[in-house]
Amino acid sequence: MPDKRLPQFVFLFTIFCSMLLVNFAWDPVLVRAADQENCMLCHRYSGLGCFDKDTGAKKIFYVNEALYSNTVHNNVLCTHCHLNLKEVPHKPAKKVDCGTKCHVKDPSTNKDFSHKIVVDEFRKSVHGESALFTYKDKQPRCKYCHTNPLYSPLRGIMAEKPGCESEALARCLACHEKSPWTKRFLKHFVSRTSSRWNNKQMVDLCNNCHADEEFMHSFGLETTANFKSTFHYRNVKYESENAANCLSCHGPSQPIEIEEGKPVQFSAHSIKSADNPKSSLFKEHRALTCGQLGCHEGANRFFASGAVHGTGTKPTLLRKRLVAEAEELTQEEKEEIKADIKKAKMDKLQLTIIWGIKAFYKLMIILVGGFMFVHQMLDLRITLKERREGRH
Amino acid sequence: MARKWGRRSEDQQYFARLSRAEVWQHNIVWISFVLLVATGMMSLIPTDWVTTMFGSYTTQVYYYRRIAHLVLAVLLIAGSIWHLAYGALTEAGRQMLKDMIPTYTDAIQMKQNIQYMLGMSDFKPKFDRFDYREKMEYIFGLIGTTVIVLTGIVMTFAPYFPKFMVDVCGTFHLCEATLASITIAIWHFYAIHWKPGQFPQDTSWLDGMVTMDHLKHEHPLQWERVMRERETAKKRSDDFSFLDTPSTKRQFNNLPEMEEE
Repeated sequence: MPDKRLPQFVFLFTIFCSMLLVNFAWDPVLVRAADQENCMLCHRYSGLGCFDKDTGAKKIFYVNEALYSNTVHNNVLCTHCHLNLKEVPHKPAKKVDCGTKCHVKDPSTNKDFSHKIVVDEFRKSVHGESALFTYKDKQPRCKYCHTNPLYSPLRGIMAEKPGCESEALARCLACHEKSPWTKRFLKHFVSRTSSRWNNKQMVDLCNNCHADEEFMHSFGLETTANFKSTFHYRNVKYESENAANCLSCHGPSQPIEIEEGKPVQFSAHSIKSADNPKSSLFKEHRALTCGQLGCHEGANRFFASGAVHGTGTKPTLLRKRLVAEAEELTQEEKEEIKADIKKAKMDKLQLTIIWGIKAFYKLMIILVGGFMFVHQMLDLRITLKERREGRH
Repeated sequence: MARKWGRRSEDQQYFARLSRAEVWQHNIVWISFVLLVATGMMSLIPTDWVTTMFGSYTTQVYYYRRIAHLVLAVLLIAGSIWHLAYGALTEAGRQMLKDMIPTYTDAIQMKQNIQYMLGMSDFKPKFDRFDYREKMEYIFGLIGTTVIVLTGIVMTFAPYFPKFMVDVCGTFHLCEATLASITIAIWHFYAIHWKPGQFPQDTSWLDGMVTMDHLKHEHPLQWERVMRERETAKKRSDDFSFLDTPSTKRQFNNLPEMEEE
């Protein structure tokens, strides 16, 4: 009887062809162009990960190629950021330093590109090398806000027209070569013409840490949770164009003339403590910050006084600091803290007065509203009775 | 005969409870008040409700909301100033303000009326032109409008005032508006819309007229006074009825003599 089974080499050949087909169909061309080091050989598997020996935290090393190809770093080779990876399989990667030169040419200077300028600025800010961060793990790093973001789509009035991005690309291609670079340049340009975060996302991002009472008190700071009850936040909620988010005051994009004739440009990376004379919220600069174009133009120093999102816990926190650091502080610093306590007490009194007004009105609403409701219900009852008896 | 939506039935006698000026003052105030509450409360109610109402136009609506709120505030201020000027400069206005002053009698009548409504007494007090409910509402309205207008001015010109003052004014503005909305919804809406006999509305806001039956029931002292005045006028008219001839009429009215056919 003849053997009806397929010959073994046919079977193996079919499997090999199928694997090739799957491989070509699954791998996006763009990614393979960027993945010159063939890192995706392992990192394409979604199960790739481990648990940290010390903290037990789950670490995932999977890279979604399709997403990565549409991120702002799609043209950067893995080893340009993960510097200590020399062989395969590699040793545990060190933390990435965003100030590293990544060998992508900066088209404006034709030199190796780096985020060093921003990183240096950030290190000088309150979130960088501040004395507050005794524990470095509590310090926000670049990745806390920047998560290798995707290119933003073309937005605004033009975006209402479908396919406007391909039309814009076609205009670029009229002069430039049809290459991944042209597409990437357009996407980069489009992404940077508007802020990545909208006002609400910005507030939520800051509030992730700043509204956490326990976390903020560990630094001796008040929380900002009640920013959400301010008029500023009401504008944020409805995506009003000139709504004030956290950066509008703490790192305003409009230059502020903090020294005569020397306008200073602030940013999210240069936020400084309000006690720092270089801060946009230093007491001498507050009126200028509040009076920015499109905000409270003409604001005077009286308007720019007092806490915007205070909770009244500052005097206690300052007193605790005075006690805890009594031996380390100089007499001058102690006097400064005492003056701050006095000012914080005034802010607390103001908050108490506002709380009192609200409490008074709540009581009035309950008493007056309650009386009126009962009165009208009694009137309804007696009027119906009168109508039944023909007296109305 | 039932009357509907301001149509007057011919078998009823009417009394002008509000003058034309008072009707228009009321109209300006209520229209601006309702729209001010709507545009103001939009910033307080949950965002989801507003986005459900206006969909993709929410941001634009919210932008124009502020402008509308300021324009309506100017309308409310103008209406209030007209009302105060009317009260100070006209005879009818002065009489209205005089009648609106709360007296000891109002306190007594309030107590008597509550006892009557509770069934503790059979005596129903007789109210004059304005009863204690209307006086309370008017005085609350006067105080509330003053608070709202003054605090609103400070908020509009915020950069020129200390921040604490702006915060205090903002709190007063918001709380007073909430209190006013609640009291209007409970007190005034019941009296003019929901009270049996008034539904769907008391049409005096349209032309200032109320039926004599309504006046007799709600303001019996004023009704009695009006009836007395009408009777006296009728009696005087009857006493001089002998003069009611074409020649005397022409003489008294100083009219030019008509050609007889």
